[in-house]
Amino acid sequence: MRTLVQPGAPLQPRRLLEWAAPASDLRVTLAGGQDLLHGLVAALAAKDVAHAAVQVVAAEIARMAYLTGAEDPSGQRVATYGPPTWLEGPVTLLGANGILGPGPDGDTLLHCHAVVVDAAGRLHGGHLPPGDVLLGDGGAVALVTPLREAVFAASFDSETNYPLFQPTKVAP
Amino acid sequence: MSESARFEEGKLGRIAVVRLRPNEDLVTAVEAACREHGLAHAVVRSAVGSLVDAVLEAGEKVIQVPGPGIEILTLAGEVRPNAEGAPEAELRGTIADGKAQVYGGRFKRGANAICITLELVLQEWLPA
Repeated sequence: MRTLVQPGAPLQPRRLLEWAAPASDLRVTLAGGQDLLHGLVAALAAKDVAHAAVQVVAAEIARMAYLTGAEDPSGQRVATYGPPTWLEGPVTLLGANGILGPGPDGDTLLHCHAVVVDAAGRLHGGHLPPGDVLLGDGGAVALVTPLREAVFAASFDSETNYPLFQPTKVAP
Repeated sequence: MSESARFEEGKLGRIAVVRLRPNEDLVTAVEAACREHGLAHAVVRSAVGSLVDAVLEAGEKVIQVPGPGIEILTLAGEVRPNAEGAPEAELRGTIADGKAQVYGGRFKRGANAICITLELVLQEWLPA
């Protein structure tokens, strides 16, 4: 198994785990004509949910971009994102996992990767940039597991030289 | 007489908010995190992250996908005790490489190093 030397010194522990309290899950449907990630963040904010695990179980997409990984030519990190790939719809989402929490600037961020199939039947997938996934008329459905007592919150990670979501204990 | 279906009654319990750091092996690090925190049975609720390279199994086929920066698109699976009582993870999903090619299969044990991070939410399964 190949491993890579990160730009910063290895941090401990290598595996982080915090316990969250179970809560009721939410099933949310989004109408078409809005951005998938912005729409989910806004809908959940209206329900006072700012920390969650998200599964997008269905979405019909009119136009979207996604990003895939690449080596970082600057050498400052072991990997970065390449240029966006744009798809014209109808694009059908097959599955997506997301983590919702406060991003590096404090605004709520939905970090989401998805696998989709385009109108010609080709598979695609990658990181979804917020603001670049316009839902078609069919909208989207997501299952949301709100996180309480332990959440993901972004902070700068000196090992990878990225701001990253870290398991974080919070007051009940 | 063979059983055509077998049920295990139970309920979902605590939620584990997990991060794996770079160069940890996906499957064995999930098992280690469960062992370290006393989590015997669990299901994957969500996961977002990347791998250095990926090795997937599909039937007899082993799919090797060179990275770095393989994106994990979806992850599903569960953790259950093995014959010795230690947590054993069975993880499957889809990935995309830097050329935007999508692959799917079971993640091979000991062959999928985390690239930047894995953000993972597990939920405990409590058999009755």
